Amino acid sequence: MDGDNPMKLKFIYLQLIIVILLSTITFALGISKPYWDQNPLIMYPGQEKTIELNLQNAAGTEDITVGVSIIEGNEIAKIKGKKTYNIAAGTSEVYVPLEIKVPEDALGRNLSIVISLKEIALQGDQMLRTAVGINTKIPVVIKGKSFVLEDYKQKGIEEPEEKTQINFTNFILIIILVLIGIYVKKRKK
Amino acid sequence: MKKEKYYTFLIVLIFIVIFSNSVFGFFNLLNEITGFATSRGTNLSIALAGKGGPTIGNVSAIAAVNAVENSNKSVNFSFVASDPDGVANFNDSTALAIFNKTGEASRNATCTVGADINANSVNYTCSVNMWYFDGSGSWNVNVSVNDFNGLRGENSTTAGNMTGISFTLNALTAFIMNPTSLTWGTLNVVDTNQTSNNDPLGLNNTGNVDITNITVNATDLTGETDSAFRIYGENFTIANLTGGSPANECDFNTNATIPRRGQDTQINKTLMGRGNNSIATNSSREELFVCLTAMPANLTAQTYSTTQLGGWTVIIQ
Repeated sequence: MDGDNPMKLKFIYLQLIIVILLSTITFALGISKPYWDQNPLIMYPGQEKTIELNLQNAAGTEDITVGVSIIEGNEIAKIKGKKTYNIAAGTSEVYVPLEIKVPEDALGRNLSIVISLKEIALQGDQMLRTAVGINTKIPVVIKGKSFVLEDYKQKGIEEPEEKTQINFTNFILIIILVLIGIYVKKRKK
Repeated sequence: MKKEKYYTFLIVLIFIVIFSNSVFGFFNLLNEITGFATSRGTNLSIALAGKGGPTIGNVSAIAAVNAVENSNKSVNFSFVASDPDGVANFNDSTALAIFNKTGEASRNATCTVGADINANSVNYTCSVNMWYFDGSGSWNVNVSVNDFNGLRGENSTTAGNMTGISFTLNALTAFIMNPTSLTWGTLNVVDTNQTSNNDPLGLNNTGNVDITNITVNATDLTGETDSAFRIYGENFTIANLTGGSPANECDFNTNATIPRRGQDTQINKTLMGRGNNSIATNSSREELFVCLTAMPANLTAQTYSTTQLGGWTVIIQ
């Protein structure tokens, strides 16, 4: 029995060391997004748009690898590029592009995109390893095109405009040329 | 007769140009071609403090800001102040920037004088820190500076003056968690209601969104020597309370939640509001206590862990 005591003490010390080491490690995960319930993304039928989601691990002590997926709204959204991101400890500048395409028949509908971030837990010898995850929603409200463009204008959001001015320039030139032609012809008479 | 035709032609031409401009914005096109600024109104204008006092304009636009979890983010911008009495009349130490949002603490900073633009105008640069718990949405920008005559120039959207600028602070969902794994001492297969010896699992809301749902996606713990033997996810319970008899975290009839393997299981009564984590009384922290309520009777003596099937994921939303 006495012979067991040194072994037991070693085991207790080992456990204490593990607990102390684990308590100094902190996992962190964050996602910053430009649209939320009180500030939904407003789009029009047929519109395509790419927004950026900002991933953060600013407060963590360990680098983490997260899988990014869409768990709701796959019919209108897809993640462009890679689906797994490494976020170094202390950083907040990782961006995930999210492409959104609104169907032509979606006018008046309220849609949702739910993004899932899940840490891909590394293998380790801890008894019960824990990992961090976030589910976050991006609400999408579908309005008429003129309403959306006016809303963008008020908010100072740049939206590529159709190139009607080129046609207008040609139109003016043609009118002027025709008028000059008529004038010159009448003068000759 | 010729003159009449000439005038008729001119009138028709002028009519076409006017009509075209009203429909297509022809002169805007000309402006774009020539590089002239378009004639669109701007909200970067000036609030006058008094005759001969400073005026403020050209407040630079601020793009949407991503707050940084558990930290602050410097928001940098500039403005131009003008004074008819010359740049030497500015009291530079009074140059101030304030960000306001209803229901939120204001954020402010003094601004630094930069280069003179001309004899009457000077550029100021400002850097205001926004905190991780500051509310998302539109924030108004108020900038001001005094001159040595005691007159004040201001540009803001507050106090009925709607000429100032604003910016959007984006929504930040974030948290930290510690420790990163849970342990138990040596157990016997007949042991029941054994709480982890290094819990609680501490969670802090480090963003500006209230967390109303905390879920756990559990896995089984498999034997490291013989993986045919398992402690199932459902053998555990989780609660944000401890103490009592039986311990709150072990009592699934009242407070504790049984996590389901492979499913996001919401933990009872958990909530993390946004707030300043350095204030002890805030509600932005949750503590999860984990209990091993019982083990399958056929377990063999070996170490059990999540190594093979992966860890438990704590998910906020």
